[in-house]
Amino acid sequence: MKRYITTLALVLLAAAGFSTYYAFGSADHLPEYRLETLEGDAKEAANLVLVGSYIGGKGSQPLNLTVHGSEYRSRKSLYESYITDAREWFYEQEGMRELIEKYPAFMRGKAEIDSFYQDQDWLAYAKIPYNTATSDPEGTIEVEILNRSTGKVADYSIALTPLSQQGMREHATIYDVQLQADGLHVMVNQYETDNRPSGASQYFDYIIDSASGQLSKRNPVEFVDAAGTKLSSISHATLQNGYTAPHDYFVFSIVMQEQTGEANSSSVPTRVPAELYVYSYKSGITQRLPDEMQKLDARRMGGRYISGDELYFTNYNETLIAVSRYSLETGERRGETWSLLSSQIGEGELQSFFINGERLYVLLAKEDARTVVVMNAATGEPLYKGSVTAEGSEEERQIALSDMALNNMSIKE
Amino acid sequence: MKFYLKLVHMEVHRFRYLLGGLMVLTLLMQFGVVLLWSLSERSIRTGPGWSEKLITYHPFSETGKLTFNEMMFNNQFWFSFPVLISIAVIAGYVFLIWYRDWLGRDTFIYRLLMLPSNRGCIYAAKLTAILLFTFGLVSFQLLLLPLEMMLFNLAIPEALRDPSYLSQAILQNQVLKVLIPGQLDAFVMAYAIGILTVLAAFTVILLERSYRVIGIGFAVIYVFVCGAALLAPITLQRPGNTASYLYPGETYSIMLALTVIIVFVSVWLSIRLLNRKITV
Amino acid sequence: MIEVRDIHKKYRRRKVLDGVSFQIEKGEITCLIGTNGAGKSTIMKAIMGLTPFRKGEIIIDGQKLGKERYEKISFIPDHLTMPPAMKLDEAMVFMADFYRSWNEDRAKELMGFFQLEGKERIGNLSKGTAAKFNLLLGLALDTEYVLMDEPFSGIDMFSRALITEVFSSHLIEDRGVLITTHEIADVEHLIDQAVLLKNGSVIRNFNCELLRMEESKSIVDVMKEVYQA
Repeated sequence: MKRYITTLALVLLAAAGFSTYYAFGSADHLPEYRLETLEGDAKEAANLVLVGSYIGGKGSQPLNLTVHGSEYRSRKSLYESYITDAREWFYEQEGMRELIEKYPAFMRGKAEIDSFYQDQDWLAYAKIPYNTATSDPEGTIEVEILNRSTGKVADYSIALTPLSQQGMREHATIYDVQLQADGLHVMVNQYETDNRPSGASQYFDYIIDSASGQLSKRNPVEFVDAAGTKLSSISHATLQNGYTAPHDYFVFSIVMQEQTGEANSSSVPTRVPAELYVYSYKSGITQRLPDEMQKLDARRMGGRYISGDELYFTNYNETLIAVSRYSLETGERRGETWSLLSSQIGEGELQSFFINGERLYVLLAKEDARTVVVMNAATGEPLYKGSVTAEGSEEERQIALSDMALNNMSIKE
Repeated sequence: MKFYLKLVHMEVHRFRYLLGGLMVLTLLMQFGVVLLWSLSERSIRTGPGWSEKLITYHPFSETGKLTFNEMMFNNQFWFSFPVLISIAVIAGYVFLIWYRDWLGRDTFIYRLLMLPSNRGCIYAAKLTAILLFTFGLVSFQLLLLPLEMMLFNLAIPEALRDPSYLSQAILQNQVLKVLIPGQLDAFVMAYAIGILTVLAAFTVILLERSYRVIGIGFAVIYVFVCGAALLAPITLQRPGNTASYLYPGETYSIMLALTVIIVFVSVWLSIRLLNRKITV
Repeated sequence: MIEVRDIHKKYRRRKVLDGVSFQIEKGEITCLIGTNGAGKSTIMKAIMGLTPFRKGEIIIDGQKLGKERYEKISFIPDHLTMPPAMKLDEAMVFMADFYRSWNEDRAKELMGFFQLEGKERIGNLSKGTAAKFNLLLGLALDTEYVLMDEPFSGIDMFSRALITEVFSSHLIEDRGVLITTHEIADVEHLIDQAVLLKNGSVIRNFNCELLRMEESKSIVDVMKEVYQA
């Protein structure tokens, strides 16, 4: 046995070394942050996640912060990083994770969040298949509707009506899917690809009869401006939140394109303010929202929020925030616009905010301190106030807070 | 079983001087770097013309004092150099552990193949030896680090330094943070991939030694097939892409199954070659 | 008895062995004779499982070969096959460690007989000394059969005499021996059976004693007939 000593020593070294390290020595000693409740109902902040980084002397470590504590990305197990959270950005939205758990067969391979529709009884998805070789659409809209109680899936295929008769190359993109009483509505943008940027582009509401699977109507969305001129050559975006939720309206933000001569000019178009239009799924009519709503300058998507038939508008700068509500049906204001100075809300200046589910979430920053306030979006009544804190002694906390950079907030379901 | 252990011992015994040499090299170079840097920094800070105000940017410590982390960060090359040499030597020995028995005047492979034991023991012993060398060196490095921290603490008086943690120190070095990942599951994963590579290398070696030039052709095909099989699931069904038909868990399960199959096939093929097709 | 039955082996299109069959009996010394490249070493390696062959079988004592063959047959290749860094003593410990059939007493006897130093390193041995130690490693195993590939090649006259002595001693006595050698003249008087190879197959296979009595020919005579025809 004595002559085996080299080998035995090596075996011991090999086994003991890294085992000991991983059992005892590999703690990362990163500070533990938390959102601490100062006032109000902690339930309001239950789903709130603050996203940022810890930048200490040991490199930058991305982390998520909640009322429960901090989650560092570096601490995620391989299983979490690669399997459970592999499509995290997708799963986090609008209950996608639950849907995949409940209906894995239906949810397979479905990629676009705004092509989904879900309510209590139904789950629907629309897709425009593209030919991988030519990258042209194959000319159909494929629709699947799942009855959540019976589990039965109906799938239909309807033809995409070409935009122009001249046989120009077209692309089509789905922007929204809604189930209304008269059938499944699919909001599709069809545009010519050869003649950019001034090629024809238009939105259509394809209405599919749920029982027969046939196309019953194809409503064009037409934008008529204040002067009564029908708009064309537009560049547009759409306003939507709750992509999968039932909505009766669809809001567009339209910019009149400056004609700069060449079709493929790469010069930056001059900034023309966007105008808001709303399409009603029930009536099929597109209306320009009233002037009062047009003037409000809400630059960020988080500042506009659609809830049912109401549109929330936020006006803000570093020290002031004001929220108004408008009816999408009539264009009239609902209730009073409320506004608050940041000093009235909490400490510091406004760093970021967003509206979700009739709540306004505000993040205030003052030096190293971060405060989160949750308010009723309609009235401005504060419901929750919390501040970011770290575990440890007073000194450790100060250091930890100074090392943290918080960028963003979101709701994780 | 006993044959296997005896063969493992023989393989370790043959390599002992090289292994010892690598350990000594690592120890000397790393201790040397720690000492040199620490003493140099200390003399700067205790010498004339030094004031606290000279430190404007101190990412490593709140107070701007010296830390082991900073030492690790600032001495990437010299600290990693012996580690890289060790990696190269072990990588080379994956091949040499076989080829050394064929080369030269004294072809030990004759004797190995004529041992009255299952030839699979030879295969297992060489594989075990490589693993022992690898984990031995990794553990040795993990042993050295706290000693180096102590050396650092000895070289620099308490007033001039701030404490560091071992896990952070490892993160500062580009090579070490790959070899010693922060979490155990990443460690297991990384070294599992390494072992898979060694298995593939052994199969390649045995194919060449059994079929010579044609063997190299077989080996290339083998590596290609294994590589394609392993990469196919994640390239065809990208886990990060929501439009993929398979969910990430399913894709990775397939990969795992394929890996297990490849491991079995490699080992089976290697031992079969050793039993039937190998030629001296 | 070791029975070699119809072995075929191809190496790059060339038929190295084209149906070789012969037997090795215990208590006899068999010699494989052939020109260079005739396949003598290959046959030995095939018997020892050191090289594969396509068709045919090798049967030892009525059983097909397994890993146990190495306790029954000992092979002494034409060069020493131990790591050069090893000392002679260490090499013997190695053999004792792995082979049940290692006979320590016999090994010591041979060390004395060949006048070998245990502390010498294998890499430092002269050719003659290495050949002697090679022989030791093979003969100290208590096997029923011994295969020797060119035991005399490149050895000086005195060492050769010493080795020849071994052949007549108790160390070989009851065993079945297969040797290949170019120095037929030196060992002709020891050989019991001669197997002549030409073009990969056995051309002549005879008992030397009988040949001398019946045809008054020596092995060399037959070789001339076969190879110079």
